[in-house]
Amino acid sequence: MREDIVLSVSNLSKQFGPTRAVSDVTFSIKKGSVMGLLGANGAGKTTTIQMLVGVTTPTSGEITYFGHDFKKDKALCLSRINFASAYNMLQGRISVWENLIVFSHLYHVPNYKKKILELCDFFEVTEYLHKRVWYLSAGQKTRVNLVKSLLNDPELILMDEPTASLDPDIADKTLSLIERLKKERNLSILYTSHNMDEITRICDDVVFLGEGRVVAHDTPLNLTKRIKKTTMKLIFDSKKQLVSQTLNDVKCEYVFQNDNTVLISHVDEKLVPNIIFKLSKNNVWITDIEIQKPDLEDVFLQITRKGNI
Amino acid sequence: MIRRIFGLLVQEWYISKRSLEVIMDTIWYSTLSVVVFGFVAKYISSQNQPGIGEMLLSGMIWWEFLRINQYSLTLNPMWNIWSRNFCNMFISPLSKTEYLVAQFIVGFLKSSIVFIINLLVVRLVFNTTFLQNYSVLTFIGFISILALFAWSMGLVIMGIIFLYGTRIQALAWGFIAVVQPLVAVFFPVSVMPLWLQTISYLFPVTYLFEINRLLIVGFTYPASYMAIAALLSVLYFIISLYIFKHFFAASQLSGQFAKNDEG
Repeated sequence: MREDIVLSVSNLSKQFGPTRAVSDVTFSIKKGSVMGLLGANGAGKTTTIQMLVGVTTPTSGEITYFGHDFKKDKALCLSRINFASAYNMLQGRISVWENLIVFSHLYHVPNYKKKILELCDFFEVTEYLHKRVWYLSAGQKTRVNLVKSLLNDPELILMDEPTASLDPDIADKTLSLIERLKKERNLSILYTSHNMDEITRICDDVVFLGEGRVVAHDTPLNLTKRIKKTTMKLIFDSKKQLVSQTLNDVKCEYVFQNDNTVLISHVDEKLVPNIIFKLSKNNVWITDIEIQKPDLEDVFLQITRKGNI
Repeated sequence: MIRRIFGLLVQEWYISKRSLEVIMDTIWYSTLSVVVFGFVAKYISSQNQPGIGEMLLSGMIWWEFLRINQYSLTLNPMWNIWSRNFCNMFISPLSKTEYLVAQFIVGFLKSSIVFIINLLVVRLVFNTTFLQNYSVLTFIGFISILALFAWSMGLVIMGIIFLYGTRIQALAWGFIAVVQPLVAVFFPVSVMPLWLQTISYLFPVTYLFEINRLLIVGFTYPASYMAIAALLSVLYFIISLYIFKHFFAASQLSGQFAKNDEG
């Protein structure tokens, strides 16, 4: 076991009756890195996270935190990790301060009052400390959840869609805080989200799940490189019919946005010079070219629609 | 271990002091029932039926000690499930044992507070008490056996709720009502049909309510009653711990445990 591996998951599987929700999932997270766990709804992300935090028992497979078998040393492992989710809340009937005191006791946090105040200051929630949790807005709840998830100075945090239901401004602020945490504390994070821009922004590695299996595992950049098709937008100063005829000849999928703009989709990158050459040769006067490179969203769509990449 | 148990006790204090429902369900309804039974007892006693009224009233006070203890045990997890905070707690290093010990303490404390309030009400309003015929050992026996039985019921109900989800949450406060007629709280076992008497004597607390009636009219009670009640209550507790452990594990295996927090 390498010392810089904080979480190692090996052949993790979960069977619910006849349904195989998670199948032979294997990955590991290095110290200080952020791993994105992606997949369409029902791909097995939530079940995987639930097994990783010990609230659902795996059918088979091994989970190891910091070299310790999770099954055997559950309390030890849980004392060194934490969890933040948009879906798990704190106790709504009591105040933020009271909730954080309870969790400080559960995690044996030394000097907990000082710690709570420091973290609340960091996440800018000090003014809500004495408000009951159920009166907080979604953004405030998310930040309070993040305070809770840092109470025990975890070495790894599992975050299940922490920015879900947040407006773009609050989501951006939350992401900035997560980036700051990673940098300042050398924190490892397992991050799930449906927002591909977020994943591209904060993740070093991405695991794509499809029907419970790992269908791709790489850096966000390498994953986007695997998609060879690109989208090209051309603005031309010629007859529309001429452009159409040329594009039909090279067998492209295209749609005219107006009389002078055409959007050519699913173009093999290698064919781009050829298309431009043929259009020029047919006396099409191209005034602007915009090539839209594939991003993680395209990877996501390809995996969810075709099952692989 | 102690700090985590303390953390759960602190949480219970925070919830209880802010929740009118908790105060109503435990102290208010319980004390109101005792007051009503107090008047019924007073009326019956005035009709040349000495002892009967006191039997009813003391039965009610002991029953409330049992009910509140069980109710507290099964309702406490619900507060956290309803807030979607239950899994959060078990994602911390909190163990099942720590969780249960905290719930036992909370249940015992709440039922003891209600018991003391009810005794005071009976003393102040009806100028009576039924504990004068109880020895210290008998009193400790009653408290311990009733608490063990309440925890046993609570453990099984909690386990069933974890396993099948909040759609059967009504069991948390409704199940114990089924037990009440079977354990002969307000009437002697002898008035029941024979086949029901057999069932009744399978419950440890039936013996206690029989003992209570004997003590009220100044009789001594057979030591075997207390011994059987103690043995049965320990047996119930061990079996219920096993059932809870099994249901808890089954709930984590079926995925229901995590789903409970999804509402």
